[in-house]
Amino acid sequence: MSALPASAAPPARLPLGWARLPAWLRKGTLLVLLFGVWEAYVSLSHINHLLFASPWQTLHAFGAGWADGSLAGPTWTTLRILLEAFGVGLGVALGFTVLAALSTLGTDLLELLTSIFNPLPGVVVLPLAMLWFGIDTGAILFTVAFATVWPIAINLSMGFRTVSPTIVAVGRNIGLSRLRVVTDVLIPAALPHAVTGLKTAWAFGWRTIIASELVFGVAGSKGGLGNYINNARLYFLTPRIFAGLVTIALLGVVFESVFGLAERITVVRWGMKHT
Amino acid sequence: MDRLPFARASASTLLRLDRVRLGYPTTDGVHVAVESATFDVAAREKLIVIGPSGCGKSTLLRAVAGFVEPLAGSIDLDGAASLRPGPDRAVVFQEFDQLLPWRTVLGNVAYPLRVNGYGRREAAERARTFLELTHLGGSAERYPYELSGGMKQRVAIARALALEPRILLMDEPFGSLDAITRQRLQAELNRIVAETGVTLLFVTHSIEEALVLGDRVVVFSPPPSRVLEIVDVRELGGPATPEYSAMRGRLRGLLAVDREELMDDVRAAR
Repeated sequence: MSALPASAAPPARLPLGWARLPAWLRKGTLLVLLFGVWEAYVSLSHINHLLFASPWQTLHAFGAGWADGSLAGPTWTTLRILLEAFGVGLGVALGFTVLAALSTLGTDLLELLTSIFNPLPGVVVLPLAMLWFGIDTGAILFTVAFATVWPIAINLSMGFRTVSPTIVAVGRNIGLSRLRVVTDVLIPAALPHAVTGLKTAWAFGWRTIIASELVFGVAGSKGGLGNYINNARLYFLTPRIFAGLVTIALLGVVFESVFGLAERITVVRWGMKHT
Repeated sequence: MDRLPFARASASTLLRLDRVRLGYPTTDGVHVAVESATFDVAAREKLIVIGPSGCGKSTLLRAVAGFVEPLAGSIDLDGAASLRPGPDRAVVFQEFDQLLPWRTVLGNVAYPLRVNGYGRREAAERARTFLELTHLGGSAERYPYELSGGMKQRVAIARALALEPRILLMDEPFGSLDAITRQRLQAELNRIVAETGVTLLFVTHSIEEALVLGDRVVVFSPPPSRVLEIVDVRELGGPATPEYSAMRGRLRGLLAVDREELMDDVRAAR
């Protein structure tokens, strides 16, 4: 039977014409409504402004923070450390992946290590990192790199293992050297998994670095966004806490779209991954 | 024992297999897939290898392509042993995923040419010529995932032919296609081979395919397999002729040989 039962028909909806509006307008309207509710709550509930900032206060703190550099500095610091840690994590993950590709021992080692460490939230190594590196950027770098290694390694090695043996044979048949089979066939063929790994690792790293900076708590000229928020809390500058949160949320959205774009112009365009 | 009727092609020999033995190591010794294969392929000939599934015919093709090393015997191309894979023995595989998904149809044909020393423009031009030959000119800018199975196989054929191989190796290339597409591609392959004059070594398990495409057919026994017979199918005429029916019946008989009986034959031959 190809006919769907009647119960599978879409449920009746309110005839508002909402679904016919473009997506950006629907979401934009919702966003404005949410801000309205937020503003209404703050102004009507007489909540202490030291505990809860209004949208306007947040927007003001956000604008002022970016204008005078007090938000830009921490944002840049956080991104720089994240990028460095990501690079270290990627390098270590590549090492593991090559080992896993070369030998069964390497595969076993990688599988064992990922099954132990991948389920761990990255921040759990922060106390150890603080012991080893002191309360310094080094500790955060180590913690974030640790959080990024496993998702990259696990996905990369999965990507290489699942490459079709046929296209590897084609690569050798058309006369590619061993090295060029790796660079011109294996790596692009493993790209869907690789992108997934990088995306997951970046998300892990992002959460881990903010959490690590919050734990540090101490003020410093080199502090990141987590420090910024924690300092704001210390001085009851509640609008700044909100401004920091908004910054983190916005950056998260930007990263998502960058990875989404990267996928759309590569693996999605090639039909290797479906959105 | 290896001297069978038609075992030696009359015209100039291009590829020569001499007592090729193929197998792979297992936990208890060596599993022999092909006991002994001896036959020649003449230049510009269309030679079909047919046998029951598991008889090692694909392994044999892979050995000619250089992916598998024979346990014994020799494979000579133009009188020289060439064991490493190379574009002089371009392969068309059965699997649809033999195209590079990240390259367009044109890119899939042009890229191997770039690898083999063609300049960018030359490679693209040559690729276009061969896409026209396989009636894919209109799909040059499409990506493999946008193509049907039959179109993917035609891209693979264009890619292999553009490399100007000494011999074109085809491993059941139409095995995963529906019957109608398969027939159409068989007719197209006949036309393309006639136009290019390429030498063809084609592996299949379909008797009809062997008769439609082949000049000669090498019939393999079940494993550990050997050459049962080599038959000439050039002068059969169309499927309606009595000669065609007789040959089809004969091949069916050969391929349905009782396995036990055959094992006895092999033992006796040793």
